[in-house]
Amino acid sequence: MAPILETKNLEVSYGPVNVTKGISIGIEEGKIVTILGANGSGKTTILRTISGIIVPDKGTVTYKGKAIQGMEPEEIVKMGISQVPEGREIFHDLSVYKNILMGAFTRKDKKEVDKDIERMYSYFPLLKERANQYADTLSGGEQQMLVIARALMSRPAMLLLDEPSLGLAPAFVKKIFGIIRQINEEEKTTILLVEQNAKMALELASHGFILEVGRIVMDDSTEELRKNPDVQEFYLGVREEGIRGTRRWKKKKVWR
Amino acid sequence: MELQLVQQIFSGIAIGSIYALVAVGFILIYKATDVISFAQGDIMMFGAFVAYTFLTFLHLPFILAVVLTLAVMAVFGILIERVVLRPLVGESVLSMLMVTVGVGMVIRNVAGMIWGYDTYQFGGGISDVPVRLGELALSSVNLWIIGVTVVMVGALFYFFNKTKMGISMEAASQNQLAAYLMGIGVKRVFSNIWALSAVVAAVGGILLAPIHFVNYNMGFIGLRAFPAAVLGGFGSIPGAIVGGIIIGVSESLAGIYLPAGFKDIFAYIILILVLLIRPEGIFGVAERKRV
Repeated sequence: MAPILETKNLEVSYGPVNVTKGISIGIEEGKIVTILGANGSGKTTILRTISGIIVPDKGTVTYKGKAIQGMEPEEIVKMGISQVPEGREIFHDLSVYKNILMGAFTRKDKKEVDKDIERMYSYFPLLKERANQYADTLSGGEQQMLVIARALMSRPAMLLLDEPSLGLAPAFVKKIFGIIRQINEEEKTTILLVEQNAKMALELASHGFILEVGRIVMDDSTEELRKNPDVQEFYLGVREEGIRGTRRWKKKKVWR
Repeated sequence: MELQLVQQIFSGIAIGSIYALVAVGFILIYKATDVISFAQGDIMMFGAFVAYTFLTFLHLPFILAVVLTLAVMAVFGILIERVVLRPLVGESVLSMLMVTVGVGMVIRNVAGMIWGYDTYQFGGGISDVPVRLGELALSSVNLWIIGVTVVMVGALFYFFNKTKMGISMEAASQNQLAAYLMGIGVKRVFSNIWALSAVVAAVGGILLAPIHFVNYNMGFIGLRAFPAAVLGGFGSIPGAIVGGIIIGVSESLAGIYLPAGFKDIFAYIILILVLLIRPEGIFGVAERKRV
């Protein structure tokens, strides 16, 4: 089956700095796929390019068979790609309700929008309680729920999540990941999850990419990735011990 | 004595309403783009002249003339944004601010070239008759100004709280990245905000015409709206309205009870006092750091 979203040789640079050096990934419909990578490896750049915030220097982004690189963000939202940006980008001085409502900005079917808002409240009952509060009075975890609800309001076929666990308490992280799974199962939404919390992401996703300084170095099922010694050492923190109980400090990542 | 006081306060509220409308224009643009548009007063003047043209040269009925004026001014606002400000996106706020000063000067002088440097008058669709309330005689023009301002403010409140377009304008001013990701056309929103603030300014200009005359220099009255906006706490629309009315009333009282000359500088005396005592303004919030 052809992937629902595919990037080919995506190259983006900020001024003279090449951030991504030819990214090619394919995401199959209905799956949860994750991109793992350290700070500055280019994860956010990839998501922003898919959403049309950044125009790539080279390469293509194909969604449902159509090239979308360089299109306006609003067109891309209308086509069914929605993004939860990194760092909980809420509308701080709008009420929780209006924040959620803005997620449906591109939609015209008012009745269905009202129904969807109720659906979001059933996913996140806390948001209903706080519907009339200003969004910046919410805690970090509640804000993360808010931006996820907001992104779902456009009824996306594909949801891009940029580090939803960043800075959250472990209990909230579990909750958020549970909801991501639920959305994927109930709404058949394809999910591209960018994470630093590799353990959780590898459990949730069925396929993963490992990104290192702008290059994809591994592309495999998460089952295989979890077994890989390099992934174990550098992403999952499993320590390999030498015969004398000491660690080999000179070890290099080989990615094979 | 008391009657005179009430009447002075009343006419102060009327002129203050106009300051408030111009100040709302300042605030709309400032909230969305961080730019303080010093062209606001001149846009108001231009609106008054457009209305004057429709009424006096084309002899259109008043309502039609107003509607057409507002349409022309909306386009005018969009033009300023497109032609002058959009190319500067990403430049420092200071250069955008200087550009608005320049735009103001250009508008003022172009208006002089088109309509001449004389002072004109048009009734603004209402004749000035005293409205008697017991012993009190209030000017019908002032009542009209206050009434229209109340309606305008109500309409703006509704627009920004209840309509999707209004909420999306707020949203885009608060977080551009998130607005883009929600599919809100942020550039279009900025154009619309310039259009809206030009329309609001034009309403102010039309209201000002019966009490101030129309001339190419009337934009300087917009500079009174600036202290009004600061007084209310730059960034708050209700603040701008309250600020405008405070400035209007205190000016009007200064004109009566203080020596000649104080009337014109009183707005700035208040401005300086506010900045000394409560720099964040009446409705302002001290800058919060957001994470």
